[in-house]
Amino acid sequence: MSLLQIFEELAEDCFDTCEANIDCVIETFSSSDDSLKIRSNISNNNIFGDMVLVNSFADTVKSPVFS
Amino acid sequence: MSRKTKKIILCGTGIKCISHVTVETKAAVKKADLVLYLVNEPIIEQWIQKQAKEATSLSDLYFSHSKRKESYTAIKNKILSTLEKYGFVCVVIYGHPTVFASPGLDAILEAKSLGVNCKIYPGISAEDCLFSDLMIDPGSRGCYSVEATELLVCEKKFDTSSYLIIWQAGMIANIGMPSGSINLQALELLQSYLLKYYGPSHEVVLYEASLYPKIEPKIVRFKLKELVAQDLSTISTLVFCPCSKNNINQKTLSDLNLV
Repeated sequence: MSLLQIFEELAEDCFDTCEANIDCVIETFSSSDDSLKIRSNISNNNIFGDMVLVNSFADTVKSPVFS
Repeated sequence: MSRKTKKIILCGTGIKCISHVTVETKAAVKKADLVLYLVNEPIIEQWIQKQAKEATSLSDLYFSHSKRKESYTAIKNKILSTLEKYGFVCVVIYGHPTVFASPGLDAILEAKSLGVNCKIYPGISAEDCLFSDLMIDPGSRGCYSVEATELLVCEKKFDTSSYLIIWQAGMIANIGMPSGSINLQALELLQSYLLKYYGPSHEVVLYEASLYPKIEPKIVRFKLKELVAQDLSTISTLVFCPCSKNNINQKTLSDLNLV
């Protein structure tokens, strides 16, 4: 399951229902270093283990500010 | 292809990653010949790349200038030049595409004056999230929404019987690119200006909308006199609740038979 697929599932967020469907949940988001911690219970998953740190927009897309 | 047969749609993806994309925005992204985008998160970038026939980021253009105003002009020109080559262009900006976001709107207005078929689809703005997360109805007392630097430099007047929302406090006096540092001198001046309207112990809410499902928004309540000590970021918004009663004109009420 790719990160995008996980987010597409999570996008239908409604309390805890998505957790059961994809067995994965975003645990923390740190605005200080723009990182996400995602906890996955998916066994034999090559992408995510427990508490994987995913660099968010810090190293790829900086968040633009307007006005 | 003449300009009258060309089409451009400006739309917003909201704040919360993928969750805030509307049905009409998704349709525009899928159907456009080219999607130009400037978004706040790499997952939404991946989503656009997956949905679109062809997609190009405006991020490099945005960050290639030292002043934001120069970036906006470059982005506007890029959008207009792209229209020369493609029949249907979709421009995607995070949040609401015309709320505190001028480059897309500037391009749309110029394209419209040239006879291009233009549409703007709304997106969920940070302010929309704020109303939900703080459970505020701006219609209940009125609401004054203003950018921090403009409030300070133009000495904007406002009514303390209404809500006051100050955008981009973490970017105050910064006309360049987002950085990790805050202009504390400007923040002190902002605090002094606000103290003309509110008491030092008036509660202020520091708000940052959540970018991700399952993540709570940042909501920090503090006293106005503590403003300079707050951990502001480029996406921080300040909210002041009303501290005075509505001034009701009894004669007007009577004249309108509203008594």
